[in-house]
Amino acid sequence: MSRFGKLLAAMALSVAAPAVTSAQDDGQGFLFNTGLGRPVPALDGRAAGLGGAAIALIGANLSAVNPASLAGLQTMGVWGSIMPEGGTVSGEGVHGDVQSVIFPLGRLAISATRRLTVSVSFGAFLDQNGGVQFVDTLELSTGKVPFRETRQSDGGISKFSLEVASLFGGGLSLGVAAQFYRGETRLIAERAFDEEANFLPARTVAAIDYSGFGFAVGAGFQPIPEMMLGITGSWGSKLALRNDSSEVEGEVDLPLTFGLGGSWQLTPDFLVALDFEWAGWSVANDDVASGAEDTWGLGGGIELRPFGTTPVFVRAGAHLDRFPFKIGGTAPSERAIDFGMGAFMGGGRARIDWALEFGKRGDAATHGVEESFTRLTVSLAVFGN
Amino acid sequence: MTFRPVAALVAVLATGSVACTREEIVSVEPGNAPGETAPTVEALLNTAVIPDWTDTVFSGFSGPSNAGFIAVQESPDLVSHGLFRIGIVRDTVFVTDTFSAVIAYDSARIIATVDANRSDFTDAGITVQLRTVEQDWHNGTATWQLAVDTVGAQVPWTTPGGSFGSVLDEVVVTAADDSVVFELGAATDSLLSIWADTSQANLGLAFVVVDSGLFVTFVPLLVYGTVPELFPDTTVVTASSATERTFVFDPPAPPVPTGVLRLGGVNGFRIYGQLVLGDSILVTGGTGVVAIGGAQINAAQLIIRSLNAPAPPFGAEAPFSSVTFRLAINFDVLGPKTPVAELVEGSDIIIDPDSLVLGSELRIDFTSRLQELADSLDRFGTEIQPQIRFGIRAIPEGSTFGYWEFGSAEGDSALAPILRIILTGATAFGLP
Repeated sequence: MSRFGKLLAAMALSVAAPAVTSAQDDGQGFLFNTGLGRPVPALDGRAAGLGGAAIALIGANLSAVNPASLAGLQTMGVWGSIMPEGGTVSGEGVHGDVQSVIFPLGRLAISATRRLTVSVSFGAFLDQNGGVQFVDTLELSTGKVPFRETRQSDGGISKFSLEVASLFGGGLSLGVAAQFYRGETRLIAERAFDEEANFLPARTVAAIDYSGFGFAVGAGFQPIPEMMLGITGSWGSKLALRNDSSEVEGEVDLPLTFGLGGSWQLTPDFLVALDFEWAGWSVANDDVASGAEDTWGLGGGIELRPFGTTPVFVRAGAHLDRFPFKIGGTAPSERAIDFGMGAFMGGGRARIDWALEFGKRGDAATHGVEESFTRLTVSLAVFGN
Repeated sequence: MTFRPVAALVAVLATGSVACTREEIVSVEPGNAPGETAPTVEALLNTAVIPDWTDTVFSGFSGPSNAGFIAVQESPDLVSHGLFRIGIVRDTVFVTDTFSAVIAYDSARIIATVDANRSDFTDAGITVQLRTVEQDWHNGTATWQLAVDTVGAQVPWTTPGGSFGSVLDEVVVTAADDSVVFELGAATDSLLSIWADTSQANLGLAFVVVDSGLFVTFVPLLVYGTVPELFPDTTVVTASSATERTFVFDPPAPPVPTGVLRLGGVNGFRIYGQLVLGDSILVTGGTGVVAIGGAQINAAQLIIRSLNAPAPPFGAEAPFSSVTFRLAINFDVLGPKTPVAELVEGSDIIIDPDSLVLGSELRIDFTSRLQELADSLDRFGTEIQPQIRFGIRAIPEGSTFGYWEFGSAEGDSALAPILRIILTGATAFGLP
């Protein structure tokens, strides 16, 4: 036997494989690490309280869903939303309380002319924040060594938009947006051993970069002051992916999207809104390990002004959204009921809206995991003269 | 506005809008965790299969003259005589505010602290003599046979073990004594006058055990009275420590047998080793190969295994510490003169003879050294040879008379050294 052969033979005899130190590729999927993550709608607090209906809202529609929504703004304004969320993840052999804070929307709009409005916005698009932890044992020549392993994902993909919206005659408004996708996710795997073993921990970090672009168009039609209808659609390029550590690159097709919505001011103090959205995520089915399906979403709500002409609003709604990336062979969905309030301040120069949602994502029996959540969306807007 | 700062702002906003989150960790069962991470594996690499693992022993890095003690012994196994010099004896003394020449010395005594832990007493105690020395000797090189053993001269003792003269004092040392006092008596003035006169040879003094036992002391102290010329009715007491001290013993330590690694002892035995690792480790169970380059070394140990206690009187009589250091070149080029490099971080261990039996394992931490090697292999690949060169020494050297012995690469494979490595390869994250 050659010297190298003797070395391999002796090493093979003397190397101890641990009992369990790595999970299989088909381990439990979670929303944060399945496909490109969990979609995050670019909503303000008003739309969040109305079941996510934001395509055609009478009154100030600050969400970045329909590029035509800011047509006729007549002023300049800046606003943003923050979305803290807490929940419980549960399933067979799975448990944890999770918390997160996402910034779904930040926007600056300027009325260039009486009819033309320009805006820039940024916000979360796909969220990949989350982590899992487990305890296992390493079997060595000196005995068993317990260890704790943590696998974390920090980051996601954001969307930047440059939008132009214009009013036309007859209650028609049109808008177009150039959209840019940019993001980074840090993947961390850490293994810490029992203190008694006096082993140094093992830690690997990698970063996945994302970039892409797309276009969106939207239209609004307000045939009468008490009714608004809207339609929107978008197209995305291939989303480029790159692992900074291994320099492996890839692409994922972004979907076509389509949305229909409407709102009705049934009385001066009572408004009803409804939205339907569809996205062709099945184009990415072969690009991501989890597979992807087309998605749809349905949401709606009511808005009341209970204190006469005082600009304070109370809202309630519900939504049902299908997510694109599969867990356990099928894509999970999110369903929630929403409650919210809003108010104008300073004679209309500022506005605050908040919404509280109670919902659930996934299904333990189907996907092996489900998440129950409580989500607060708060937005604050400031307008010029 | 240039594009680059805008792109940077976009990147910051992109990260901030999604990454400004605080998430808690979800607990899962080990088999349920998503993704796949690199396994942690153990390799026990013995000397029979690591290419070019060689080791040896060098000595002479210390001696009785720089040991921390003087061993004086009379026993069937070993005879040892202590030698020391008081190098500084004052010939002037400061009285009130005046320097005065010394015209005479009186009441001189040698005070010797007793090392009760290492001394070996009978119930009746040990009778120790303080004697004059009648032949000059070299502190650094004196042995039982040779009074001087330098490069330029080798001068044997007239009487092996030391050519001694008159007995100045004789004291019985017992286990209850913290220190003992030897009086120089009538010889005080003559001896100290010679020692104070640097034109005359200072032959020093000797300790000799008369009956049986082991007397261990440290640095003898001379306390003496001086009579100033200006104040002849006054005696000024002064003290001086021994400036040179050693001990000569017979028989010497036996040669290091083949297949044995010897460490410590008054002669400063050191273990030197060198080995060449492969650049990857084959993992059993069909999980592939784990490369050392780029891996994270969770733990690495050089395991040396004890042999039986050395034959009396050469087994270590007390615990001693050791450290491991790097060697600058292969030890077979310059032997004992191989230049040493920095210490291996965390490599200090305690050799406790009371806890060692045949096969007992001592684990020397090599984690930092292996991680350094893994980092170098990751950075330079096959441009470097994955070689480890090391030396192990007692610290401080000469802290014990006896040494300890371990299995060598050339000896019994069941007692040969082992390199144990626990490592985790780099996890390869894929794209979503």
